[in-house]
Formats: sequence, structure tokens, C-alpha cells
Amino acid sequence: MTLAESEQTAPNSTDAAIASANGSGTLLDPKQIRISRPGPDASVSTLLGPEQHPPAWVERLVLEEIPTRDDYGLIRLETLVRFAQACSALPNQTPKPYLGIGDDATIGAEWDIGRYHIGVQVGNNPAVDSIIFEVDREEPEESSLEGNVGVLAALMSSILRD
Amino acid sequence: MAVEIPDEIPPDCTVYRPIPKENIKPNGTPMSSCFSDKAAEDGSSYYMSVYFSDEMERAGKSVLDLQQAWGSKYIVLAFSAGELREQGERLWRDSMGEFPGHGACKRADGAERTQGQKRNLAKIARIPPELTKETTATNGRDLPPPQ
Repeated sequence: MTLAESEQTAPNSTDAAIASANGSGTLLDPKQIRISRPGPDASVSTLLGPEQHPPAWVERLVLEEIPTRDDYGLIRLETLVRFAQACSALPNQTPKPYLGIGDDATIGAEWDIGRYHIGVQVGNNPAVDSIIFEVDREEPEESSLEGNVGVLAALMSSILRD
Repeated sequence: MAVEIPDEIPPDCTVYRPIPKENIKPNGTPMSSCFSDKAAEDGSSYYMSVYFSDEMERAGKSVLDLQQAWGSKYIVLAFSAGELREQGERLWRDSMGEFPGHGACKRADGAERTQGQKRNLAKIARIPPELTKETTATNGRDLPPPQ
């Protein structure tokens, strides 16, 4: 299995199912992840589509664990939101990833599942947002995360079925 | 125009990189995020901080001293300079702080390290034999619980 093969099986609607909005508190969707920090533009909500059932760990990871591990407060709100959006598209049975915060202000999530390694990186500069996929510790395949959230979800589904 | 920095570190020199112990996964591999460049205080240069064994030894310091200097929340990982060059990295000395041997590691082309490149460093990083005993003793207590 490769990233390209997963792309062929990725649902087209996955990205479209996620929208983000400034948190006015008036959003009608039954499920939101509201990300806040002190300040004038404090609140951002990641709005999930009604058909989405994100893994249970996403909210705690985004709201508690990442801010706690971000020692210097380098991670921007919009970075957290993009990370939450990517993770929320994963199948709900996806195990909690290992989490790392890089000195370059990137959020890294990694899964080691059997022969497979999957990594997601999201940074303050969206150009560094990426997915890596590796089998048997060989050379990792790397793709941009932008436009490939559905690929990530399809890849994870495939691995969890394997 | 970028200034050429001579890569003068001998290929067999051991290059140490301290990382937070919580970033070692239960399978013993460090998180890829441990191998990110960091901005200098003036924001002018980005690199990954490392320590070179040859300079440490000349100053009478060992990897055990380095581990002690970083404290129990960190674990020191090791590469050889040759291995890092094979991965496309460039090394140079950059004295900083009280501990001898501080240096810099950056992509030879000056670019930011990609996630895949960080992952490749994570796969070749190892715990120095001098520290193995200590790491084994802490295994299962200080490391993060399985997912």
C-alpha cells in the first residue's frame, strides 16, 4: 500500500465535511471543538460535519496536551485548528498518537501500528504541513497535508483493517 | 549570498543530541519532532543544537557529564558525524553555554528539515552505550504510557 493508492480510495467529501469558524457560540452543529487562548481573538471553533465521529482523544489532545507541551507558547491558534481538523477526519477507532512539539513550532503526531508508521506534522507555516507513511522502517513516503486529509483518513482506515 | 561554513567535524566524531525523555516511544524510537531546527534568539539562524564528542573529550567531559548537565527529564542520543552527512546534514562548531562541544546541525542545502528527514534521523539515533544502563533502569517509569 502507498499514499498514492490510498488517494484513489479516499472519500472526496472528507475535507468538505469539516469547516472552521470563529467561535461566536451560535454555530448549530452538534459537535464543535472550541480552541481558546487569552486575548482579543481568543476563540476558534472547529466545526465538524454531522456525519463525523472524531476519535475520542482529539479534543483532549488539542485543548490540553498540546498547550501543556508547548513550553514557549509558539503554536498559533490556526495551527491548532488545522491539526484538529486533520485528526478529526480520522476513523473514530484510530488509537491516540504519540505527540511531539518541535523546536520549530511544529506539532507532530505519530502512529506505529504493526509494520506501519504514519506521521502528521502541522506547523505555523502551512507549507510544512505533511503526512509521512512508512512500511517496515523503509524510506518514508511524504506528502503535503493540504488536500490530503482524506488520504490520511483512508490510509488509517486501511491500516486498521489490515 | 550564503557564507560557506567548512564542515570540519571528523566523520567518526560522535554527535550528541539531548531530547526530552518523554519523546522516546515505547518501541525505543524517538519522536521525529525531536530533530527540528530551533531559531537563535535574534531569529537570524535556525539549526538543531548538538554536542561534539571530540571537543567534549578535550575539555575532560564525557557523555555522562552531558547527560547530567541536561538532567533526568532528558536523554542524550547519539549519531556519528558521517551518518548525519549521509542524511544530508551539515555540522559546525558553535560554542554556546557552559558545556563544551556545542555545535550546529542543519540541512546542507539550508532548507528546513522535512518530516520525512526528521523521521530518518529518528531511525538512526541511538542511546549511547554509556547511558544504556541508566535508560533501562528508568524504562516503564518515566516514559509515557502506551497509547
